[in-house]
Amino acid sequence: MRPGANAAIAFLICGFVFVVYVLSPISQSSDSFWTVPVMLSLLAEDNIIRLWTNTRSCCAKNDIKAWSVLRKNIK
Amino acid sequence: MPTDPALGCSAGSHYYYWYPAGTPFVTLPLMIAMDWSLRVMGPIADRLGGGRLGPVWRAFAQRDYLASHLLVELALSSAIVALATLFVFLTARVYLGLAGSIALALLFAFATSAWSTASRALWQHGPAMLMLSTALYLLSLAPKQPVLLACSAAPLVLAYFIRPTESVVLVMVATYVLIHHRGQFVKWLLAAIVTATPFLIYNLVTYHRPLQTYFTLPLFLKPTPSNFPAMLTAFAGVAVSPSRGVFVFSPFLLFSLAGIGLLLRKKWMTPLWCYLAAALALHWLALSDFQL
Repeated sequence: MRPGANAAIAFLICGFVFVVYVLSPISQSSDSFWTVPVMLSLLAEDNIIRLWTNTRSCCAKNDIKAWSVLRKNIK
Repeated sequence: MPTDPALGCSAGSHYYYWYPAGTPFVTLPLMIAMDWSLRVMGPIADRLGGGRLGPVWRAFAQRDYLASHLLVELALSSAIVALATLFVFLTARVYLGLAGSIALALLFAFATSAWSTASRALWQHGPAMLMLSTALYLLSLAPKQPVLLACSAAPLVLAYFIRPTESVVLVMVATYVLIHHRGQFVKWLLAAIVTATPFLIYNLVTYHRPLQTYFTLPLFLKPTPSNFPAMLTAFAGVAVSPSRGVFVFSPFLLFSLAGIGLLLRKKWMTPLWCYLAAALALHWLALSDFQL
């Protein structure tokens, strides 16, 4: 079997598994609650956590709006 | 001050992430890819969905990732474990035929906690699985392409910064390289240092220490006679507990014990399998020693 065929089958399996996983029921976990905010803070121009203390504002409009939602949820 | 790790730990006016930073770092490229896809697809989905989209889906389409963080976690963790399945398949292809490799990959994807746990949210399990399966693939190819042996250090170090108990696998593979491929060890070590450096710098800048507190917590029972009953119970529980035993929920994994016996008899993949089997056993012991 050619190496390209192996890779093609591997990607087909990967795609199939991804679709089934995404269609499966979601799980809520407080353990993973901060993973997305931390990723956004790494992507942001400056540390997004600074928004929390209003010392700086430098992030995208969406992020600011989302952080206010998050802040409300935590309170 | 909140002590719940899920809420972060406040110190002064800042919140600090308590869990290892490996998961957000490793997932970042996928997050960027998802963001770029949503820049194109999001407005289309938003327009087509109209009023039928629920608030979370609309937030997702509008790239409001905090309001839709559950969907973000589902999409990214699913992609991570699907990629781990890809590497399981490719590793199997090194040793097995096509049908056997597909069967093994699908067993991994749908008959283990890869589906029920790792792919459900963005915690440590999925990225750790991806790193270990990548390392295993590189180690399997290394006999024919020796340069890949040094490359295996990168995913193993990442696995450590994702989940500290993966240090067991890191140490066992380091020992394997040191003893059996001494000429490659300096390269392997260099790859490990290069991978670890950004994390150490990040930790020093953010936490003023090279490792987060999560890595240094006294989470393990002392090996005293009074602790042995609890350790033995946990040791059995990891395997056959009705609520979380690995052989209860994934009984096909019992064949892996038979596989180890077969390796021992036929001296196949020697000596790598010895180190991998030792890593498995030590990991099991470490879980049994965990203080609940």
